[in-house]
Amino acid sequence: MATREAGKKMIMLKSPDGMEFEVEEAVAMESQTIRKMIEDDCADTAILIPNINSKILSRVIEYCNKHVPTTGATGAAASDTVAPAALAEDLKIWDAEFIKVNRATRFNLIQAASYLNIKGLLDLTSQTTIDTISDNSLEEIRSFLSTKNDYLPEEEQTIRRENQWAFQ
Amino acid sequence: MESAGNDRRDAALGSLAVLPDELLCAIVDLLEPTDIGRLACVSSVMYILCNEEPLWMSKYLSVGGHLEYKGSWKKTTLSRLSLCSGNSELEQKARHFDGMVHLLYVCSICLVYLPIHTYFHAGFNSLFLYRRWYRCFTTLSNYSFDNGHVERKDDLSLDHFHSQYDGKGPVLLGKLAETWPARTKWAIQQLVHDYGEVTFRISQRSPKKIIMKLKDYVSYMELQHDEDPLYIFDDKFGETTPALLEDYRVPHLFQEDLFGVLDYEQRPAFRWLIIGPERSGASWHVDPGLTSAWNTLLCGRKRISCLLVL
Repeated sequence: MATREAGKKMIMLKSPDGMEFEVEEAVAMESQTIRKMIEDDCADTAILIPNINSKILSRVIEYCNKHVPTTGATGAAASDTVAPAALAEDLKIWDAEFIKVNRATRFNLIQAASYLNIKGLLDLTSQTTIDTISDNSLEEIRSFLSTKNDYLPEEEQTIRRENQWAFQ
Repeated sequence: MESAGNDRRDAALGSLAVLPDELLCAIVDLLEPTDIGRLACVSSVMYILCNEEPLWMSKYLSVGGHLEYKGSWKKTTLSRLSLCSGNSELEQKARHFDGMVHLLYVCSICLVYLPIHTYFHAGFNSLFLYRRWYRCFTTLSNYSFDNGHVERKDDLSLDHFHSQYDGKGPVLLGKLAETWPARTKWAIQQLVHDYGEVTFRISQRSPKKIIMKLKDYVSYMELQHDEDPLYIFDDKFGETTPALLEDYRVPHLFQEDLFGVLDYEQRPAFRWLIIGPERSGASWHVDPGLTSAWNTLLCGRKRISCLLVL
């Protein structure tokens, strides 16, 4: 959670299960949805985030805290002495750790990232799903996603023929 | 929505079934075209998600460049990426995709959206896909329209224009363009005849630049069923096709040209040729540089909404 620093404007995010998170406005504005609310003066000092429980919301805030442009960010990575390339590398490592969650949490994060319109988080959380699809065999994809092949044999043949271009 | 008529969804999507259709479409959109083609073979619902025209439009626009529309965005994209080899094969596939006409089944309370495809039966419906499809295929000709609330004036004097309207509010001016050659020459078929091979700039919301030959654009315009069709929005038509500049005159009310103090190279974009089908257009915007503009409609219909900012 954000620590209060002098001169930083703070905003309260509330989850539907009654938790309140005080974050820097700049951090909250990593979400384009919240940014628009603030810019259009539709946000009070507190914003209720519907459909995102406190567990997921706290993870989202953690992500935004880490990814907010450096000057306002907390943590060691924001140090002025770190080169941009090293900073990007550090973020990548941090992201990889961040996304080590179970499937249910990951899908909750996808939905939260979509609702709050945080492109980086949506890309990050969708990447695992994309990786299970990219360059794998149909059987592997079905197995990773627990998907049932509901084609009749002759249907499957026709579909495979139609999409032959994707297997070359 | 998840009740009767959607019994295929859970099994065919597996663990992804917890995500709403809108998000599934967004995730498929992140895939490479060949991955989309292979995902379509995984299950029937994946097939539907992977053959959505808005998906293939987005895939094409993320590449950009010189666009030749092939009758569908999927065909256009595959052809552009050379993923269909050989003409005969392409034609064969083309016929196959053409068979994908969309159909609506009305079942008691909900509208079921399905591609007509011999392999698919009821079992998947999606309000999200249906609404999007509806926005793509709905025709605007049946919509009623009023004459607007903007004042109409003919034969306005320059003094009157300056004192009553300039910088104060919009006004519709009649009769200023009646003698323009563009009045007759800027009809679609005539323009294609005269400038079919000329390349124009296309407006779109992604940063990749799209250009099209006029004849290809008109063919696209007639064939497409996009929710937000591409339209010609070209600020360089006067430079690429100077003959078009002969077809109109700047009305006497608008002779004052403050950009004239700049060297020609420094002059910001100031004139646009705009051509588009129904459903095309721009969303709310303020004109570049907070300038005022005059706008002449030469054929068709254009709706302009002005929001008075206090």
